Amino acid sequence: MRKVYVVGVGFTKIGRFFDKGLRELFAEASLKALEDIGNEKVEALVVGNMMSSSLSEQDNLGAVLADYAGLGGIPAFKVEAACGSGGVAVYTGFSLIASGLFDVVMVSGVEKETEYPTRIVSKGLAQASDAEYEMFYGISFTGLNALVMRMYMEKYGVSRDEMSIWPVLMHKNASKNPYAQLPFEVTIEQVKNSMMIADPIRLLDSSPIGDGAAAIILASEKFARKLSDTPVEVAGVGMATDHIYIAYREDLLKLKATIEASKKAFSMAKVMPSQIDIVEEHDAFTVLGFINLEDLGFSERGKTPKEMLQGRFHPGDKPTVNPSGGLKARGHPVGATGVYQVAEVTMQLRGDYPGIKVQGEIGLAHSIGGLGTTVTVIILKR
Amino acid sequence: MSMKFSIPRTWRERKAHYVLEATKCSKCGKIHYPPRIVCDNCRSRELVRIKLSGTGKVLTYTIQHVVLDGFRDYAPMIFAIIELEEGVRILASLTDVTPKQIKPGLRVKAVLRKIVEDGKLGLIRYGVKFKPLEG
Repeated sequence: MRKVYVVGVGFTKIGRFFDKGLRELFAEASLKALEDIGNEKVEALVVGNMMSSSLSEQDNLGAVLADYAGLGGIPAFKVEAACGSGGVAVYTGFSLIASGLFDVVMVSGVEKETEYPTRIVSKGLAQASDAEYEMFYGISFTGLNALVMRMYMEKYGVSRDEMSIWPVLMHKNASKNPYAQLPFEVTIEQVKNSMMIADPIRLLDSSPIGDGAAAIILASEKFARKLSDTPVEVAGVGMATDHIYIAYREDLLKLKATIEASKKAFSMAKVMPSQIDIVEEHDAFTVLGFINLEDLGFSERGKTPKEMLQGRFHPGDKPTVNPSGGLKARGHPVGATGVYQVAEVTMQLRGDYPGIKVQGEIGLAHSIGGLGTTVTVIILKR
Repeated sequence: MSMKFSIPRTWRERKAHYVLEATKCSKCGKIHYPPRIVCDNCRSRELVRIKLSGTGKVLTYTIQHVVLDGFRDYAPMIFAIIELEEGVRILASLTDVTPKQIKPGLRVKAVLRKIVEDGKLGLIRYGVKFKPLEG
């Protein structure tokens, strides 16, 4: 297997953009990434996206976007794994280069969510769950996560206010992030009093609905040196899936797919959790932020909220978790998020990240599709 | 008036939705809901159809205020994961219950109820909901 490097990155601010659709968002991110490699050509395009079909009536997305950005008839296709589409797109792009099929590949993630009212977008997002046996009954994606949050709080004896350290820290990190969707701080009081979405999940426990696009350019070792002075190695990748029907899982407080995917990624990269300096993980809801850190091996079951209240995982700690502000406050343009994470970790390692900077050599990006149904873990090394 | 719900699709899944039909592995005995074609425990393909008891207890629940398109008339909706006597777990709505009555451990039984209507003239979807066993 050949070595793979990230040589270029680009992304848009995340938010509600009335003047930008899927094409414009993609173009903005991908042209920035191309500038990062001196506008050299890419040989193929992989696009991570969830809802172009359900919300924008657009399939065949790879060709649509390659055409619009003038990439010139190259192989281009969409990869869909719900909210984990971006991570799976990076995983796919990695495989295309590691296998020797191509030397320079663009991986992008793009999502346009804000055209419709919340009930329509919620339906699109709920399609990440089991259509016949979960969504059939009307449960939303937030509802599914609420079942997990209640269980987590009851089993480990964690209070509402203790859980709130997650959104408080994420918003604090995002307040320094120039491209974040929610770059402002919130208090424990504000979290407690925010609108109830699906008890116990409140508005400020939830990642926001937003538009955005990110792009990275991956290259083989030979091309990496030509295209970048600061290539970052994709040292390990791992992916796993789990039962879609969440009630079928033996333990709802662990995501087996994260555990499996991270084992593979750590083993390929030959590193241990204790060596990781930066983590960008998939905190779609407060409870997932904590569970992810436990599944990835950074903290003990049920103890993460209390540790975080004492400063663990804040900027300056190892690892620093979600210096971007995470899905919670940087934002979560669903299929783009996994690509944002890899772009962010790459910039941290090469030293040009525009928000809170983390010193370090090794970073990890963790992306989830569905409620832990599809997970990718990607480890990057300077 | 267009129909959003497909009739054959709804019909195809009727037994699992109406009477909690599951599969049981003839080799290792594991019960699967929703029904499977291959046992995920021992990979046997010799599965038989069984009906689940429909009585169990609430493991965890949520009161969902923001509902999906088409469910506005039913808001807020209560959902739970219920562990049946057989050890199998089901995701379902709770009915005939007030939020104050619900707590983990509450004993419940399955009843057939309307889930949602496809407008005034379209298909009505039915399925199992759970209500408190006592009271």
